[in-house]
Amino acid sequence: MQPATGANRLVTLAVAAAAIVLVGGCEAQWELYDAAALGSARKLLVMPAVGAPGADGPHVGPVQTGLLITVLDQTGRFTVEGPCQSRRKTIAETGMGQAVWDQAFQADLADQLDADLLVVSEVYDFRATTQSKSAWYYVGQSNWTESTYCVGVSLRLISPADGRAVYFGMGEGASQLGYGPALLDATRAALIGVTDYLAANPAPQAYAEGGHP
Amino acid sequence: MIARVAKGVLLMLLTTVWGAAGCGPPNPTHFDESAVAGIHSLTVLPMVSSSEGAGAFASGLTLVHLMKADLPGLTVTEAPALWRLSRGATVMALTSAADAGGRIGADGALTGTVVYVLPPKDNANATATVTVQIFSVGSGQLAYENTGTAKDGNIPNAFTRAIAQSLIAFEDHLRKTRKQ
Repeated sequence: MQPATGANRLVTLAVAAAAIVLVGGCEAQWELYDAAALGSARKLLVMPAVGAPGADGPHVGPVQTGLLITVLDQTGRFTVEGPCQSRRKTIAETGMGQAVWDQAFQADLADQLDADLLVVSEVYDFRATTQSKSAWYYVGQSNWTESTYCVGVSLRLISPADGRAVYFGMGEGASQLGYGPALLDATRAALIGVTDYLAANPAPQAYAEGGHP
Repeated sequence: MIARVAKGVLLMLLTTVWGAAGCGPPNPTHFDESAVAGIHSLTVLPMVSSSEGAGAFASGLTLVHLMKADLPGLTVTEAPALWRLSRGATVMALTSAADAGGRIGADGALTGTVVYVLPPKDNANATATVTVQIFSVGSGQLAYENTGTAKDGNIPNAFTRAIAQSLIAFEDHLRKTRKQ
């Protein structure tokens, strides 16, 4: 057998990476529109995620919101706040009327909560597919079903002052264990552009020493 | 040489027949060119759908589609996300879209409706039908309306293709009438 050349190794690595992605069932697509805004962001305000179509989907919104807060917090780069304070302030000041469409109010709220970016998310796919299986044994036939849980997540980081998109990501996950691991995989896949950017652009030393800003 | 010319003529004939038969991109159901001419900033509001989440998802993809299209003389932004803080599903009525656009400070407000059929089985195609409506904030009138439908095994692809189809005439018009 001949020793592997550089090109051969590269091809082998690419094939292995593609196989890992396919077996893991994760797909991601992302765009970073404003790297400077992401790099300088210190506090993120996560808005409630919207649930998915289908029988199992409508109640997944709050689960996705919580998961998103956790995954963003795990980057160690941001202070991440859930929807509680923003909901309280918005209800107190607008009564959830037409003023929720006021761009200046959103900018003011983000300012009051000291937030740099808003995080909005939707779960677009949330369903289980089942496959019937059977096998013959010496004593007879055994039948069973195997379920695969499929989840798709879309998310955007938005500048609260003017509504400009800073980042867009979409990710998919599949698991035979349940919706939880699939949702986690999909969320991580949708955020891959953010995590890659943060890994390539570490926080300044003073900022990093204090942990969260 | 003669064969090449014959091929070219045949291709031209086929294209003409195809266009005359109405197989080209369908005309939008409503297109007020003078109202569209006044829109230089567009805010994307959540769309309405009977399927949970499909409206907000389609709005997000529409925003991304328009940003990628990089249309001349048009800035595109996402509408304030504060409506998400409401516990009920309160997506605005279409008639108040222009009013919301005014509060946001844009010239135009994009919203619409989404019909989405979830594939029940593996390898089944998702069907998305997106009707895009663009309101002129100044006049409060509908400036553009069109519908796109697409089927695809990949859910985001079905949405993206339906959105692209619904916006094709709007995009073509801006590219023809505005300078980069």
